[in-house]
Amino acid sequence: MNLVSETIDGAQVVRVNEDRIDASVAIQFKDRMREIAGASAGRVILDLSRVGFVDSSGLGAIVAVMKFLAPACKLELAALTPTVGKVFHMTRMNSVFAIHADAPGRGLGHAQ
Amino acid sequence: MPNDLSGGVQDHAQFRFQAKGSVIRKVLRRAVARFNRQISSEDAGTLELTLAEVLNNIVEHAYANIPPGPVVLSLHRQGGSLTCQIEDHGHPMPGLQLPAGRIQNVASEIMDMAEGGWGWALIRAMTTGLQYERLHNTNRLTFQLPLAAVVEPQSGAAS
Repeated sequence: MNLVSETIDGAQVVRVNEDRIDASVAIQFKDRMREIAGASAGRVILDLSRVGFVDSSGLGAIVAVMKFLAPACKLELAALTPTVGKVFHMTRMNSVFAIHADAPGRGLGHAQ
Repeated sequence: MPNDLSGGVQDHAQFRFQAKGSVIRKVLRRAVARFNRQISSEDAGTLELTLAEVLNNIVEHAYANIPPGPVVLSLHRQGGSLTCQIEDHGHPMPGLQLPAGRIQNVASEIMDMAEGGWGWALIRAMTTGLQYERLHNTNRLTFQLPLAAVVEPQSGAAS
C-alpha cells in the first residue's frame, strides 16, 4: 500500500498511490493510515486522484480511518474519480466528509 | 465485434474460478476488460463495483468456515442490458432470501457510524431484476445492469 504524505498549507495531505482500495487491501490501508496520520492533529486530506475503484470494504476502511483520527483530526477527501464518487454518493457518505474537487498541491514536489 | 446496443446483438462470457479473495481482483479485471469496448466507462465502473460486492460476499459469507469452492460468473449482453448470473456451492442465504440491504441513515455521531453493511444496498441500487434461487446445493444470483448506448469511434481504434 503506497501512501505518500506531505504537509501543504498546514494540512497533512496523504496521496494514495494505488489503483484500488478494495477488500484485499482494506486492512493494510487502515494500518498504514494509522502509522502515517495516527499522531496528527488538524486536517488530514486524502488525495484519491489515482484511485479508480473503492468497494464497500474500502469505503468501510476510509470511515474507520476517519473514526480513529477523530476528534484530534478531521479526515477530508480530495479528487474523487467518477466510480469512487458514485460509491460515496450511493451510500450517502458524501454527506459525512468534506470533499474537495482537487487535491491540494497536486503535482508539486513529486515528479511522477 | 458486436457493438450494436439497439438490436439483437448478443455477447456472452463465462468465468470459472475458486472463491478466494486473492482471485477476485483478477476476475473483475478480466470481466470488465471483456466488455470494456462495448459499454461506457460509467457502466464499466458499475459492473466492476456490482461484481466486486457479489463476489466478496460469496468469499466472506457463502464459503465462510468451509474450504473455498467454485464460482461461475456468466455475463450476457443483449441490447441495452447486461445479464449477470453468479453461481456458487456455498452456504445458502439465511432464510433462503436476499438481505434487505437498505442504505442506512448516517449516524449523527462520528463514533456511531457504520463501517460496513453497504454491500447489498449497493447491489440493489445498481441492478434490476435481482433474483436469488437455491437449487440443490447451488446459490444462483441473477440480475441485469442497464447499459447506456455507446458511441464508438468508427476508425482508429485498435482491435
